[in-house]
Amino acid sequence: MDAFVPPGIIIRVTTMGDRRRMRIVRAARNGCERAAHGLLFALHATVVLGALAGPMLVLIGTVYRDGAWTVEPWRNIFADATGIARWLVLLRHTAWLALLATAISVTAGAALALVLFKSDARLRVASVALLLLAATVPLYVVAGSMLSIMGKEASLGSIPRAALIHATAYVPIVALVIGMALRSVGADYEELALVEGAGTLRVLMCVTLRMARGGFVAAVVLVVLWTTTDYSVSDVLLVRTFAEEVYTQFPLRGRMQEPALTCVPQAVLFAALFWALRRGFLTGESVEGGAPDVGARRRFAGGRWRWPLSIGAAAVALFLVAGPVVSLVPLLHGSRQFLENARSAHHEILTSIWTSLAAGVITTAVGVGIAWYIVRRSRWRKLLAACIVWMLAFPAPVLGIGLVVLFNRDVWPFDVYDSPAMLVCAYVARFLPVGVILLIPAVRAIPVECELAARVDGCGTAAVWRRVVWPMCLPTALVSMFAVVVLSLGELPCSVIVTPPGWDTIGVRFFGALHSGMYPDAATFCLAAMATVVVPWAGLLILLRRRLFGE
Amino acid sequence: MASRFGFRVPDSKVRCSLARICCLILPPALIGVVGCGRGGGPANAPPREVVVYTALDSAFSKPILEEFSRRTGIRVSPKFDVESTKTVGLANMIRAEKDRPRCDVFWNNEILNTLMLKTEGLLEPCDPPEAANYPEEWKDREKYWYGFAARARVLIVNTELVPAGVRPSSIRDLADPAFRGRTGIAKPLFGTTASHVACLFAAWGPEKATSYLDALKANDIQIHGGNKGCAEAVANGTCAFALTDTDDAIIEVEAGRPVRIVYPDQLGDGPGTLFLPNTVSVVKGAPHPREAFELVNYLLSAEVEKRLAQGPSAQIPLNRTVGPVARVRGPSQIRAMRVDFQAAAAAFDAARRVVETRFLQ
Repeated sequence: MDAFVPPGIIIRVTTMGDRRRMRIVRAARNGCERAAHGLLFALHATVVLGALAGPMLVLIGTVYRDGAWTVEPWRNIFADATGIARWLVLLRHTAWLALLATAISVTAGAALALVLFKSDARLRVASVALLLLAATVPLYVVAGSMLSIMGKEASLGSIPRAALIHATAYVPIVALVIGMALRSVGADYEELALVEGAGTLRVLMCVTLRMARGGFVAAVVLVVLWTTTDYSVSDVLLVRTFAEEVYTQFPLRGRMQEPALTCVPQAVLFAALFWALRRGFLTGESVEGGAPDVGARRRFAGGRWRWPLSIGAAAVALFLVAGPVVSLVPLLHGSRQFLENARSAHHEILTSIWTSLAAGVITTAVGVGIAWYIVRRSRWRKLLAACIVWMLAFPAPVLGIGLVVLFNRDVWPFDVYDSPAMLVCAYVARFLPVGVILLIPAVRAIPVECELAARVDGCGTAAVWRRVVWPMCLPTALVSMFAVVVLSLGELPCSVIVTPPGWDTIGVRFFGALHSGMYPDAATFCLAAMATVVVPWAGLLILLRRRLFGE
Repeated sequence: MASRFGFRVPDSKVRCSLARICCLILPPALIGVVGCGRGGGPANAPPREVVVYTALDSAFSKPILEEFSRRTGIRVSPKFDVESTKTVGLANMIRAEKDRPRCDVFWNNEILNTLMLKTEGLLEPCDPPEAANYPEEWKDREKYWYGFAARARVLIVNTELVPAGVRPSSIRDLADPAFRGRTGIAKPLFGTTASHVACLFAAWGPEKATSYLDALKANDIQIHGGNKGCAEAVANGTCAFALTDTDDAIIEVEAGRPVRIVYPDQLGDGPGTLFLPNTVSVVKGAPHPREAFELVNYLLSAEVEKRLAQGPSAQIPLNRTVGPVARVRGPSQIRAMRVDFQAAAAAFDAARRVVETRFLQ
């Protein structure tokens, strides 16, 4: 390839003998490079296609059964009077749950974000650090702690209580997402509005919040997606939603058609939504790195409300982290029983840790390459973006069913179905899109000139990745890996379905115990799960404190 | 370098932090991988293993499986199910895996799904020596399954909400309009409640059983996630009385909650109380048949029966060498409902369809 040579690159002049030798060396090197690139390409293609195989098999299975094409399951769900009546009930409950969870979490999250990211409140660093910790607390831990307060039996069938649990779990993430959007609003527009005579509140409403609407959209989409595809709360509280229907119908009938079909419209809706928004998070200009500098950021003075707001925000952030611990500790019945229960779950804790780490490493290693293809290779961009969007939108329980269908057969050289590799596959398939989305800004921030310079020096694609892309993405790759590890540790809807015998994760063990009520064993598993996620994250925050918060 | 949260960042520290992060992440990863190795046994010999699908709550079954593992050196890989998809989920998993079974032993906490698996040819006969101590009525003549450690289907009544004079005596009282919206059952699609409904279909016939379910629905009966939830709901006063299993009811009684166990349908010509045994069977094509045989034999031992009877679940021993327990009554002490379990297993799917149209909308 005749690459464009940017200014500053030195081209060496060589003799005829040197050229011959160089041709031979280059031919050999090109062969190795092509082979290495081919291998890397094959690896990435395998992971992407593998992650898509489960969902695609499930969808094919809805129309192809016993060697023939059939529309029977479709008729059962969408044409039969009972089927459509049930589907409408599911739609109403799911929509109501998502609406309430979104309203609560976005209202609370936006208020927190405004105080912490747009005001001159005190204790901001501590509060943001607490929010970062709270963001890693798994949903099922929040569910366990809130049910211990509200009472499980008293909450049965209650959509508002289920929504409250979801909302409480998602408030930290929503606050951080909206906070990042608020931070990206430059001071110029706000100053201009203030100079024009607008009041602080009016500037906040008409300028700041309006310019940060992308963050609000992202937060709403995240909450709706997570609420509607999770059944760990709705199953315990017997709230009939699409995800709960999948989880109930699959073990009840032993078939995948009906449960998968109930979720198809929802998956298609989310896929369409993500596709429409893809420029904002996938293929468009990045906020970080590629975006123009927004200059100075304005913080609005809280005046006499400064300290009350500061204490209020810090208290909420503290509650989100410490609340589960405070509510669960009284259920432990003493440290001796706690230690006994924790010891009985040590295998589950270790399984959770190493499967999540494996998923994090695989996702990040492959995610850098996929992000590079999306950023640098326009002909692959749309296809890969479509794959990422589809993986992101596909409901987790149906993905679990797909993985069971995919691996429960004799065609595989390794017995994946009986091994914890099922868990790793589930985590990779679920969180690969998250890893890619986090890595895209880092890849986009690499100057093209660096890659061109490497190519001029004789590097092929594989060498460019090894010498330029991976080293320059390393900090973000580590953050991405940690995010995937945290998400995997908290994963439940897929792992409950795919967990092989003897390889329960701590989440799966807790989910089983939770159905019997919040007893000492359930509280122990809950706290152990929380410690597994939060303690490493706290350590990482301490190590990265200067990078994240400055001196 | 820009800070993510609007604070200053010293760029020179990043590299140092990254090295520390690697140091933080890699050792736990290695420990995790090494610590999770299943290991055990001589280096060249494959470890002995048995895979068991168990519908009995993990709190009760796990200690027994661990004890078996400790004594025999056979590693047990259990798969437990969740209260909300009790038993049926595991049975359907065995069906889904029939072409390449991975489960060796199915420890079911009821009997009908075991019978259905036998009818479908998914079980294998075995003849453990300990089975000789069980009465003929609790084991299969063709040696496909063995029943042990039974539980009774009882009414748990809140003594503060329901005075002595008006206490229920029959499962029909769940449809009593005087207690509208204050009675409860577990989700009748799974577990022993689904088995109980199928038994009613076999004993009463489909019409009578269906009208009974309609009456329950019309009485706004509370549906709980499991039998444990029913017992808790009665204990905390959410429910006046509910249908549950003895193992869930006895925990509330012994915890000093204001509840009482009523063995239903004992008065007059009532049909009696339904007893459902745990059943254990070997799956056809089990990858570890020898180990499966050893586990089945161990589960049928008098020691396990005693342990389950004396434990918090107070299961009712069926082994002839184990005497009755004082905490709960067995089929020899009260009138037991006479059910043709084979007919009930045959009615299971029909009962499920009726339940689904009424309770899963």
